[in-house]
Amino acid sequence: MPQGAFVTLLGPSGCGKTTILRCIAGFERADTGSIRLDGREIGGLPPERRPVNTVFQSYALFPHLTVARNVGFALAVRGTVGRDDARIRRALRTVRMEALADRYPHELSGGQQQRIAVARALVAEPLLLLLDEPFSALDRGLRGHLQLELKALQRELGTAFLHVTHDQEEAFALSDLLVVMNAGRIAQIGSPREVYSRPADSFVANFLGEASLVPGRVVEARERAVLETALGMVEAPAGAPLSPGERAVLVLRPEQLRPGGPGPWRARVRQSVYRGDRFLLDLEAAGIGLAAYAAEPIAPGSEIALGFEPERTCITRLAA
Amino acid sequence: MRSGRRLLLPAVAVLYLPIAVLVLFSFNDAEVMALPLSGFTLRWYAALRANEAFLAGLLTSFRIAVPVGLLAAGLGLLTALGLRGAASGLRALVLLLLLAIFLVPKSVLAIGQAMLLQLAGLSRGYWALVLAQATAFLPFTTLLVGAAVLRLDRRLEEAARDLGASPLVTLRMVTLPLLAPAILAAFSAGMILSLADATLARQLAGPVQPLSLVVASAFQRELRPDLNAMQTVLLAVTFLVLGLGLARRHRRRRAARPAPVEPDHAARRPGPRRSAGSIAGRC
Amino acid sequence: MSALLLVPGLLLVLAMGVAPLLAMALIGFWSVDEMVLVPDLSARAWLEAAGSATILGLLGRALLYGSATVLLCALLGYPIALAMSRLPPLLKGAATVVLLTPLYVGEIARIYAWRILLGVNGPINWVLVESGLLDEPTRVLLYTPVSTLLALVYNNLPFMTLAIWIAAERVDLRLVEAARDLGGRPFAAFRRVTLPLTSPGLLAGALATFALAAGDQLTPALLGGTSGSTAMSMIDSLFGVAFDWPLAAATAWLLLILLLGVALLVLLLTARLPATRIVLGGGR
Repeated sequence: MPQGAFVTLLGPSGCGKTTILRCIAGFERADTGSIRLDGREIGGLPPERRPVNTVFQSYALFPHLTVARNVGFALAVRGTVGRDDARIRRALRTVRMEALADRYPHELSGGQQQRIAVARALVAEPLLLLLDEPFSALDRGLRGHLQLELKALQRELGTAFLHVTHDQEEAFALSDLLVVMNAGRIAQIGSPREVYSRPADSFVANFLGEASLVPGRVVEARERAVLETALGMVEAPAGAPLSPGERAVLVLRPEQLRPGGPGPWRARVRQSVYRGDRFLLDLEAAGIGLAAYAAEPIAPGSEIALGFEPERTCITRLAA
Repeated sequence: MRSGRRLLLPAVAVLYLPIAVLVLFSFNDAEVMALPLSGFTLRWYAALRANEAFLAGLLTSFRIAVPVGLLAAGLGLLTALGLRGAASGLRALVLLLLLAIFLVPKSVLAIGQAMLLQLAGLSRGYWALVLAQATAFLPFTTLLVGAAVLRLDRRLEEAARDLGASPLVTLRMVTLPLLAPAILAAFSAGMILSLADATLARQLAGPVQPLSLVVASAFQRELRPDLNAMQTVLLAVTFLVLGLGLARRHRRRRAARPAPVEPDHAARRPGPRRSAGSIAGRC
Repeated sequence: MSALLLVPGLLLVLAMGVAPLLAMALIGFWSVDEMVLVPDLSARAWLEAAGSATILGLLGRALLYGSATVLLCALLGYPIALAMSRLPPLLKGAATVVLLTPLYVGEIARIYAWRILLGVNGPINWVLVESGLLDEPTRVLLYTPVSTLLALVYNNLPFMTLAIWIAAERVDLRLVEAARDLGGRPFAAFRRVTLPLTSPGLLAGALATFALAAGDQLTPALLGGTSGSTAMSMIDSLFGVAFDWPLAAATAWLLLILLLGVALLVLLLTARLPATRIVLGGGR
């Protein structure tokens, strides 16, 4: 992980991302490999000796301690006296919770509890902060606001954050670097933009946002690839190293398609789905299902021209 | 189904009938315990103040009950914690032993213990009784603390370790405080069961005379109101112990019960609370 | 590492629980000579115990008292347990405390109180006579199997009720409502839904109650009069007055084997029940 970065492990449930987090924190043992922090091997250390702190999914606030005592727990354990109060207050101020210092966790709302959990994990100034789906227990409305706060906090502190989620929007909003995982393996590492526009395989393409995948066979492949598909020959940037003759997919995102043209394809509208801010058109062309955005609905059954922007699409390999 | 509930009041009445009778006649101004009542009096209680056997017996009962409570609760705590991390074979063994202790009649156990003491050349008396009672009540106290141990959220202990607490410090700062109500309940139960016991005392007390034995030997011959008074005193003490234990636990539990949540200034309504124990680590 | 925590409790249980029983088994092989114990390897005591009509009769009586207590406790305990399970959570805790009252009262106090209640001049007789139901006080209440059984039920009702209640708590009330909805009368709903689903609790309570009732020595002795001689009181007098420790030990072990047999029976029954599989399988 780069120093001071906000990195997210993104992937579906069961892909192993929480397990990695727990290995780093010290609650699980890895069978192979090593964990190095700041050049030091920490894989053999018990959790209490690692300079890593965790924000748990359920926050795990100590119910028998006040907010102040919760936040100051890491300091109380170390036995530092006297300077504690100031550090606790500072931590509480960072998450704007000083007024509630004498309350108990059960008296707080979900969002407040989350902030306390973050303050508690930061007060001991760890080298790395781990966050296990910290927003999953909160309402959508609350999430957006707290995500911005968390991002700002990370920037301000400069501490490295490693965050785990299955929510792609959250990952995009927070991360400097994304690690997309699938079934225990890393599918791709990159910035959110890289991963979105140049997915390394069809799984990544599908997992991050809407995508229609057009299968085909590679004709040519260098930095750009040429794919032979049912819709004709398509040339587009390559997301992964490909070889001629290989089976691959063209990744088309709805915002990259131009329903009504101008464009080389013809498609039939199956239905128009209202999305609030726009319509999603469920299209079919040459037997392949495609999705595109439109400002106005188009009647089902209509035939339309369909264009696309080759520079914004991508040809990438089929996931295993 | 309110019809079921109406049954409970008569049931409670029947449960308390013996107690009612005991207490009633201790205030009755008559030597014979028969209805109709003869008027209210405190003379039986007044007589107790001069009754050496009674006072000694009461003190002895306490001198036995408190160590038994401490021992049973302490060992119950250790056993409950030990069972949590034990391998399934060991766990099964311990649970089986505790079950066996519970099912073997106290009288058989007492005779066996007396035989063992004889074989070992040890005498009956204070320590024999304390250890025997602690053993007999261990299944109860282990159950009481064990239930609380099961309800403990493992993530809380993980959080403590994550923040730098060694397993021992975690035990002291997180686990034990959270188990405190159950430990108190176990201590209470141990004391109360000890005060209530006569079977083990009969075989193992030797020279030591707790109140239950004092009363037992007296009423072999006749029923006397001052014996009622004695037992009412013991009963009152028992209920006091019970009440204190419950009151302390109630105070703690009220602190832990979720109060109405106030909304965050940034949210319209607070987020849903997740039961921490149900979030299995899926990844 | 946590296994170390188990050591103190285990030591106590082994020393004061297992060792006494083993000591008793050992002494069963000894002989007595003029009030002196002789370490021996004789089967005399065992044979005498197993062959004695008196002892076998008393064991039979223990079986009888135990079963009768279980039956009565089940009949009384079920309605109470079900009523308790329908209480609001606040009252449930109080109900548990109230239910366990007989336990706090103390063995001697219980027996003593029943002596007063059931005596010829006692309140119950007084009420019966005053209300005209009887012409004169009845003697049937005290120093008879009635008094013994009454006291045994009183002593053990909390355990049975608690066991059923814990099982009843896990029964989804909606299942019972569904049964009523589908045309069942209350008792039919009980028989077809509640009873099967709570049967593991019933069996656990039955086992506990049986063991406690069959092993109770003081209650029958002090309340049962002549009918109050039990296997336990025989063991007690063999141990104390008669000083025939080997025979006492052998008889005690026979009683234990009887209890073990009942326990195994209950375990077999419980394992066979579909309800157990459902309840232990975690589904509803």
